[in-house]
Amino acid sequence: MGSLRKSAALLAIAAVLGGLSVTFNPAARAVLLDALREDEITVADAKALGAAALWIDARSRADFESGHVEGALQLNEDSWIELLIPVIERWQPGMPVVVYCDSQGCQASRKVAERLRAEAGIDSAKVLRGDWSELRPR
Amino acid sequence: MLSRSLLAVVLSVALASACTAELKWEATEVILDLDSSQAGGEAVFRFVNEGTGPVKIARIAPGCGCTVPVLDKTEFAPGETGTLSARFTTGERRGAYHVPIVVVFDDDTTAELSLVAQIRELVKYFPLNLVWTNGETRASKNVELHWNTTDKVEVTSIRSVNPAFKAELAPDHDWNGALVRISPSGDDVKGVSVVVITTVQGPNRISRTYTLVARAI
Amino acid sequence: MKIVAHAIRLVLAFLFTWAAITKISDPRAFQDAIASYHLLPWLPAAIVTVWMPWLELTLAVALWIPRLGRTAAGMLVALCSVFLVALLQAWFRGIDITCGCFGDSSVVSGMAYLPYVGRDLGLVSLAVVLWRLDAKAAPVETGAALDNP
Repeated sequence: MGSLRKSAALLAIAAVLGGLSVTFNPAARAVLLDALREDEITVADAKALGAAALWIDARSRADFESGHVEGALQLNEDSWIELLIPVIERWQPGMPVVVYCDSQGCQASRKVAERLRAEAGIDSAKVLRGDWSELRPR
Repeated sequence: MLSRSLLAVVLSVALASACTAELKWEATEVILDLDSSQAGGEAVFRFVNEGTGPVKIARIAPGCGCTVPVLDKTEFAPGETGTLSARFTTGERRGAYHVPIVVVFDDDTTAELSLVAQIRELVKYFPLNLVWTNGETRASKNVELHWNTTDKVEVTSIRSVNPAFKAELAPDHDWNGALVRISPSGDDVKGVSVVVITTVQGPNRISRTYTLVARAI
Repeated sequence: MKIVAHAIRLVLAFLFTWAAITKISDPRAFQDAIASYHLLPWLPAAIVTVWMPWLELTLAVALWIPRLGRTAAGMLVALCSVFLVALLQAWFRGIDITCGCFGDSSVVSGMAYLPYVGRDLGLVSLAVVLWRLDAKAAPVETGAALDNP
């Protein structure tokens, strides 16, 4: 029994320390609150960028053709090279880039943004966090 | 008294659920281990209808255009077994991909399957992009390609989209791979190009391309 | 025997303090590593991300406190066993993971799992030995025999 109580005490101490770390460490707080990652951008912030941003649609061709953010360019891993060229030609250093796909759990936008940062030197590529359809033209 | 009534309700609900049609999956997650010399792979999900009624699959929604579901039939009688195949295309993908596949039945219930494709890249190259800064001499820069396989990998073409940047295979290297040299055509070159390196890999000579961006500011 | 126990205590305390510090300094990396195991839904994974390093640090310190040392050793046996099971299930399922153990962010797949499994087995073994040594050295009131080093 004594060791059970001691174990519980040690677990509780760790929990308290973990709680304190969430209070005082922004990085720990970000994890628990599922806060925005460095490579993400909210719909509101993306809207604020307006025409200054280059929008990248990471979905399939069919989804793109049925509706997309006005002025967005398509880029996905099915036709990477063919679609990359217009993106590179449009992008200028300093231009923010927002990549979106279907939903919060969609991986395609994350993969495309990673490759744009690594392979094209577009450090400003961020993933949209939220629903892109809020940015559709009426 | 109240707890007995509650138990009765819970049991009734449980029994009622047991009387509906239900697919039992052999596995709801399939891992595909691929490498870049493979065009794709197929994940097979086996199931049996363990319910007392027929099951009708209304549609299947994969979470990625890279995965195409294949089903021979959509209706399964009680006790009948079936197979749902999910064909994954490697395309130009690399790394790990988790594709959720939602199976929607005609009673609007769903089952969620998971295809995990792990693609190992057989060609590593660096740097991944090249920059000539403002004022920097437009001297040639090299990109190293390293083969991460004992299978045959061959560079079949190198193309620079912008003719102001010349891209070619250079002969001098002492590793298992290749060397690509990118040269701006003059000291006044400003602009950007995508350099496309095409390879064929493996015994099936699957074509795989690698891109890098060359930019002169 | 006391020397052996202290040596093991030192090794475990050092390793788990190091492990804790790497996780506390980069919680996002540890969170990504946990996600790569495909074992926990988001919220439990986030709680583990925040709590686990502090548990490791607490146990590393508790190893040196006379009345808590044996309990801490026993808890480390349990903790290391959990790590081992998590690793083995990922290996069995064929998933490529990021270990996330000591700030290591390299991808682990196939036979590359072996050294990690070996390491975890080693840690479990060390913790078991320490726990047994501490049991033998425990006072008479617990009913354990005294061991003369």
